[in-house]
Amino acid sequence: MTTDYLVNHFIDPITQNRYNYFPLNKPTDPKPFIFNQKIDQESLHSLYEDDFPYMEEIFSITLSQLKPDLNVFKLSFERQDLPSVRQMVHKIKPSFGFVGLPAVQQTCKQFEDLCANATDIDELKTPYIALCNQLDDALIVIESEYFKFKEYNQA
Amino acid sequence: MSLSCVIVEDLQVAAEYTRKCCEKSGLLEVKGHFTNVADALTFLNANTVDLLFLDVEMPGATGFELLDQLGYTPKVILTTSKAEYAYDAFEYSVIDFLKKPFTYQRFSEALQKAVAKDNATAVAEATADDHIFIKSDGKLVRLNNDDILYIESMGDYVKFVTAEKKYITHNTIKALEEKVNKSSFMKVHRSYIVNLTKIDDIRENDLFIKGTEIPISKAHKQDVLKRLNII
Repeated sequence: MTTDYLVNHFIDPITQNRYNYFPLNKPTDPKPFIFNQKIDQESLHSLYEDDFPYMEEIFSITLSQLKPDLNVFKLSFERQDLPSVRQMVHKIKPSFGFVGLPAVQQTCKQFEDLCANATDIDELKTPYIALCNQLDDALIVIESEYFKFKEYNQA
Repeated sequence: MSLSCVIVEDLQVAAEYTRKCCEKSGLLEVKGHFTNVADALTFLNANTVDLLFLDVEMPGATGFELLDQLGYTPKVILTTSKAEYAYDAFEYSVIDFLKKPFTYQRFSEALQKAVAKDNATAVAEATADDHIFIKSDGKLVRLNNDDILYIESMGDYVKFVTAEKKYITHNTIKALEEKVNKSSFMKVHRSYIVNLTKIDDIRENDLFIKGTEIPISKAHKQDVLKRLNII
């Protein structure tokens, strides 16, 4: 049963127009987006300003390429294919810069340098495990931020 | 003014970001995006562009190898995440070096350099169109227009024929047609551009330059005859 008449009956047309123009259930100021603490907001702002739909697109593209690339990276290490490991870490490295994770990009850079100087892939085992942990954490953050952007942009 | 450009980048997010920067500038028309050197080369040898946004490390071959194999020299802005390439960038006379991720402000500065260089090149071409430089045997060779007899297609390569020597370079007749001085040179067949001042005689559908028979296609014959000083 509709109860609109209970309210509308007592509202004059001018006030009704104002209600329509400034709906009560939507604030006029945009609701602030709360970033994950691991995201460098300043870095994101320098790239996309406050364009949240664009950030959603960037995070989506990053996720779709990063997931298969990380698998190739890990497979290459398992196969002890050092040139491929180096090439893959070089490729994925800037992805993290585009999603506000410059510290992860820096860790990738350090690992890439280690690859360039390594003669045996076994030398890289310890830093590789540390890097993988960091990359897996980063992937979770990117994915969760992507869903937050999506929800925020739909609101 | 609008510059045509191509993005050669294997990282999708970087390519998309660069494309958006190009769009935002209002100065660039993106003709394509390629994720590897082989595909980019095929496109670039068939289509001349003004500016390349070029990644360095890609699967198969590097961005520098692309520049080595390209038959002409577009303006290049390197986009890479490895600062160590700055020295090579300098060696290849690239316009600027953008370290990923770069801000739009930084992109804009690089673009301004490309625009400035484009203006300078236009002036240089207008004042020095009596010669061309071609890449041959790993060096840039100066050929005076007056020394070139004709240019012949060899698939992905072309042969510049002078009275003294033949030079083979990676290029296409289609791309060269736009580059050569149109007052001296003319395309007479899909495989030949000739120096009009060097034609000795014409017999039906062939012309002769220093004893070499060159076919004239039906599509070009009327234009060729119009350009000759026939009394």
